Amino acid sequence: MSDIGPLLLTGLGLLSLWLVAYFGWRPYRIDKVRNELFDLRNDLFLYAAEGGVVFDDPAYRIQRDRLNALIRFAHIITVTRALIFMAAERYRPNERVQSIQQKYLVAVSNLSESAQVKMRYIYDRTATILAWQLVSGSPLLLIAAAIYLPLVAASKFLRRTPKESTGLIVARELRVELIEEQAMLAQTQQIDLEAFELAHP
Amino acid sequence: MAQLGMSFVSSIRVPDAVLVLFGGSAGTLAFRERNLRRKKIADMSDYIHRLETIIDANRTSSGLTQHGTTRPEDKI
Repeated sequence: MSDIGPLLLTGLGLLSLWLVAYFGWRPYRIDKVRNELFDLRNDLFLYAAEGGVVFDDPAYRIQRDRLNALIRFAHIITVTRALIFMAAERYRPNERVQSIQQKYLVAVSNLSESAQVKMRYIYDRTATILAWQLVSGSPLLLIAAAIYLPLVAASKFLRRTPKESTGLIVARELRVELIEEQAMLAQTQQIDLEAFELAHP
Repeated sequence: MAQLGMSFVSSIRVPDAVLVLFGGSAGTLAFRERNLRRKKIADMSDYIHRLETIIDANRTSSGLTQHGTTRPEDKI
């Protein structure tokens, strides 16, 4: 009977750890990634307000909608979902996803040189933020990154390849664009549903 | 010297009640800080929305709740 005290205390400690992880750490990570995406959206808005790009330009609209969708569905940015999206894309490619990406690339190519640079920066920064969110949320990926990242750095140094950010390399490997497009699709579906509910109360 | 340090650290005994009190206080403080931040977001979001709409009438929203949290219907 005298051993029940430490056992209860250990149980209480483990329960507290779970509470902190589930109700503290997890929502914090979602809020943090949303904050970073809001900063990017603000950066894009200020660039347009200063005349860098027209507010009605399709490139601006798609980029803003993409950021809005990611902010709204930031809670779906997990390794499990990334793997599901990768598998789904492999066996059943989504044409709508490819069409959104194609539209965006065409729209960006019609912009001025400086606006293209700005759009590319925002696009790349978004991908890097998503990649870090995926890696930092999984202990296994964190261990893999600790091994993989020094190798990438060494390879970049030895080959003297053009400077490509390590974050972008990781983003490409993790196919973060699939998460972006899935978030956009979910956002579009929700907007359509809300419009339908408004029209048919 | 290192041995002396280790011996000092191992001799520290903090009562369990103090640890529980510390953990509970830290948790309460974090919870209150988060509520305060969300209240501030709710105040600022409307202000930013109005200002941005003056410049871009077709401004689109992220679709989060007023407090900057996930909408209940979006939780999958």
